[in-house]
Amino acid sequence: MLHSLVSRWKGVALTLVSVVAVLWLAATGQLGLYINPDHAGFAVTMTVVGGILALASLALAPVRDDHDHDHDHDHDHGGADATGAATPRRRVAATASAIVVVAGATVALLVLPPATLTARTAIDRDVEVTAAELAVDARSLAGADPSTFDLSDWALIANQFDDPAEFAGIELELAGFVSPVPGDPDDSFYITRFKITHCAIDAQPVGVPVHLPGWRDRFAVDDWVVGTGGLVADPADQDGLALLPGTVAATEEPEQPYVY
Amino acid sequence: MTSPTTTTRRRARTGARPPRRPLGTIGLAIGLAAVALFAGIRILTPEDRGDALSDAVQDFVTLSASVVIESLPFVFLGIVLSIAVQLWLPPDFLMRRLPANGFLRRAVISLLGILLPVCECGNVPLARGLLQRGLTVGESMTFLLAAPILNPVTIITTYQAFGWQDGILVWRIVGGFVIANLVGWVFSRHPDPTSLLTPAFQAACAREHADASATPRRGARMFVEETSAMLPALFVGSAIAGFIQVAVSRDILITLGQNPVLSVFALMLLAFVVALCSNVDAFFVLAFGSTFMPGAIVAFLVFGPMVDVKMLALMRTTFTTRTLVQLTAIVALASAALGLAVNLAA
Amino acid sequence: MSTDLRSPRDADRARRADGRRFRRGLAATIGVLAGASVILGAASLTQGPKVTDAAIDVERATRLAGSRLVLDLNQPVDRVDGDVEVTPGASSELEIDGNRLIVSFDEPLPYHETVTVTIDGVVGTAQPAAATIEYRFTTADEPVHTLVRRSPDGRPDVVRRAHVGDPTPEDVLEAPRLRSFAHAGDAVVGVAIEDDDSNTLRVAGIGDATQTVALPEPGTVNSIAGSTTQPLVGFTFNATAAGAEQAPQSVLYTLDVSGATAEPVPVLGPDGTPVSVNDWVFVPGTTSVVVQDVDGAVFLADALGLSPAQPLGTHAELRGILPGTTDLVLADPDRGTILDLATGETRENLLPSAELPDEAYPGRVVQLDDDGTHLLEVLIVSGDGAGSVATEALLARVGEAETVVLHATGGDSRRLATCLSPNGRLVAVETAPIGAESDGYPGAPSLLGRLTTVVDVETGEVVLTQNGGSSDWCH
Repeated sequence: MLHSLVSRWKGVALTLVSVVAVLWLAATGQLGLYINPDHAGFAVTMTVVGGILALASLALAPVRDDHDHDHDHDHDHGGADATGAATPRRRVAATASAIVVVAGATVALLVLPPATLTARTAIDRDVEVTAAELAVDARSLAGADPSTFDLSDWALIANQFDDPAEFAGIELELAGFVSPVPGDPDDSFYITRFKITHCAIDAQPVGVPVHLPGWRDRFAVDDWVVGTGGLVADPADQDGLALLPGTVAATEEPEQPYVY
Repeated sequence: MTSPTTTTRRRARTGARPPRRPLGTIGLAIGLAAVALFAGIRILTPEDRGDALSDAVQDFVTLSASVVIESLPFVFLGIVLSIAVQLWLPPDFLMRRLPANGFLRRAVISLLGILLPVCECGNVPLARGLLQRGLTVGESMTFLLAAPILNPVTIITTYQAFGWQDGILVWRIVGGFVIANLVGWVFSRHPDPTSLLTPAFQAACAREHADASATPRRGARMFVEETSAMLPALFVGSAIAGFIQVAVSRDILITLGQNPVLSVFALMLLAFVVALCSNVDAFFVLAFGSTFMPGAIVAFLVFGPMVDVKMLALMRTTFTTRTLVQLTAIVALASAALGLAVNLAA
Repeated sequence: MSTDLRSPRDADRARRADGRRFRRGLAATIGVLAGASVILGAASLTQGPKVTDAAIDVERATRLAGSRLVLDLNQPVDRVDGDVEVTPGASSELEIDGNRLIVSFDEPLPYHETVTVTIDGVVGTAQPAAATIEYRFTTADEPVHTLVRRSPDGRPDVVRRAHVGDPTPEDVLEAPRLRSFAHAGDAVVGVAIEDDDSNTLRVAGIGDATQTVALPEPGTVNSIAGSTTQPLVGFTFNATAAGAEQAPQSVLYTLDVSGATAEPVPVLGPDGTPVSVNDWVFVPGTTSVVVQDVDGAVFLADALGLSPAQPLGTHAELRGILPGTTDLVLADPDRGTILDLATGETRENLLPSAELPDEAYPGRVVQLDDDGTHLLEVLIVSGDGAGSVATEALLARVGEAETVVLHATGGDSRRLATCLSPNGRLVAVETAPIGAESDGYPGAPSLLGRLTTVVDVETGEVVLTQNGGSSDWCH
């Protein structure tokens, strides 16, 4: 009984879990933590459709499939079953794994609070390398208005340019989370954000190095900070520029922690 | 499918067992109760992230959830289209119009996915149905291999994920078409095609004709079955994607991914294991888009929808093991050759 | 499927034949695919690294020395055995950084030119084979502005703009009378002479309409120039009102032309007050200016006043900045010096001597690089022995090895100015016909019928000819 119930309704259960999760994220404006807001409209529309279909299926579908015993598990581990009824051990395993998936989905999507990626991923994904990868869509800097630059633009500039004179006199104000600079972990850190194209899985960390000896006494990795100051030649790294901070202050994680 | 004569015939064959009564309002009530329960869980759990989870676990959850959330709308879109086609488009409509020449016939069959946008999970039952309606074994293989790639939802999601970058979308479509037709051609030369099929096939395919319920009820049943087939695979696949991102060091991925030969085989192996639906596998492989060479991604996107753990299990219901080994060899080698060629040209 | 129509033995034989045919087809297919995979795989392994992406700021590359071309390769670079070749010739340095090759150009690149960078012998970490990396890009075009004074004909004066790559001129700024002008990016700032002979600034290129910017008090604007990389225009200003106090004359102001017009801001000396300026120049790529006051004291100031001015000693003459660099050329009666403003290092500046005929009189020097290669204005005076004297103005490039004549005025015109382009690769020669009349502009008279000829410094080829003069390549 449990086996047939689980194998039949696990899809609808997962649908309802996901629908509630997505709609709640959308309602609280946190969908942007996972996907690019450009896709939010489509995501919400299709989620609503999915939810309606799931509820309609519950109302309309037969209680049990006519061919329950022969076929209901064909779709996930069907091959072995096709020659006859599944062995009891297989049935238990299938039921258990389905329950694990549904429970896991519930925990991941509904119980755990929505969160941004941590500095751990930023370190693993190498802030400086990705800044170079972003160089492809670099805007032409000459003539552009630096006040419209976001963190990913400045990260690119800090990575690409060697001569601070180019940006002399421009006062930056950058907010992001702290991640350590691999080559110079005690004197410098990155003000980092993730840049998202589609969803968090393709998140690329971008960051501007900040030269602030002894920063570890004031901030921990992953703290959100706002730094102001001008660009200077990076003292740690011969290439590129770093922010010589006038002020660095702790701040709250913003509603929209990513750049797109 | 809905014409009275076929319905009568089907009912006669299945012994005129009346369909069970649907749950009706009780089912709806259960659904709404579940929604309320889930919403309750969501609202009542604290919003603050405690330090209970390590960063790695936290990122694993976030990354996996993001793949699910990005993919889910397309899964629903695929299911809706698939249900609509199965309910309202009579398959004979297509069958009657196929050309007689074998090559042309298979070429047209490999494009059926455009009209029958079914994820690969739903394709096996459909292919069985097509076999029943007189398609040869080779032709049904062509359909089975081509439809997951040459279908609108897959093309849209691949475009969403990669645009025209490195020709990934084009090579996916061309590769899928050519490989499916190649396999169809090879098996069309088999002297005794029925020997390719498992003995249980006849029993297994009876089911396609079993359901004589009214349209809405059949649609509901399809939704239940499609979600049960696709969503667990999506959740598990997303978890694997998140896990790889968190657990495997970027350095290893880059070293592997920038080798023009190893990268192809690494992603083909991954495609075989994660067994994601072709509708959304492009979002999965996005995670590797910046570290792996384009040929590897093409190989992933061509090989995965045709052959993976889940598909082999499903196809095992229809084809003999020996046939599947031959089929897998051709598809794998062709995908590898395609991936290597794209890497060479990239 | 159709076999049941034959006799059992035939059917059996036919089936065996068909079976062989199928197996042959299968084996052939698998064999061909396997072979193709092996060949393609081997080919990829013997193929070296390739460019996946490249980034260069094509505008910056024509204005500054040391700009970088970043080539992203598909794999990390192990080593580079070969050389870097840049066509058209330019010296460069190569740096390897993971899977990137970074080529920095030692000098600014030519305008509107297809540049090919070829790097030989690039060996990646994934494959043992060496590859030749080639990347091609087109540098930015550069505008050539001239001032065409038409008020003697009863028409308003205009600033006319053409491009090195597209000589079709367009008029970008119009005013009844214009004294001089400068441009920074798309913004053109003209100094207009009002009816009472006082000056105002006209700014075009920001928004649709030309804006008028008032000066702090009535006076005249001299030595106006634009930054080649920053949206800044600088000029010196002499107030006409003779105050009771001894106000400094020729105060250097800068005007920010990045957006809605701002007010001119005075540049302050080391003591934090405006100084009387003798000469000044923008440092390319920065907001800094080098200023020489009337006493000969040279200091480095920030146009935006963000950092205090730094003294650079006392020198007789500012000879400008080497194109695209931060190397300041200073001249004193006993020696020449090059001061690198980025590092503070100085080195002696030795100019090779020109091979000139006896009747040639050397004039102004415009230095091109730190080897001392320079442009020299030469006047050839030839008498016909009967008391009448003809003069011809030549422009020569003087290097270690040779002296090359780039431009000669001929007998029917005279040269008024020579001005080097910001990348140091072109020179604008301003001429007027012999016997042309003065236009009589107050404080800034010139000749009627001026013509500006842009000449390639390397080859002497004429790139562009345009009506008008006062090119703002001059400082």
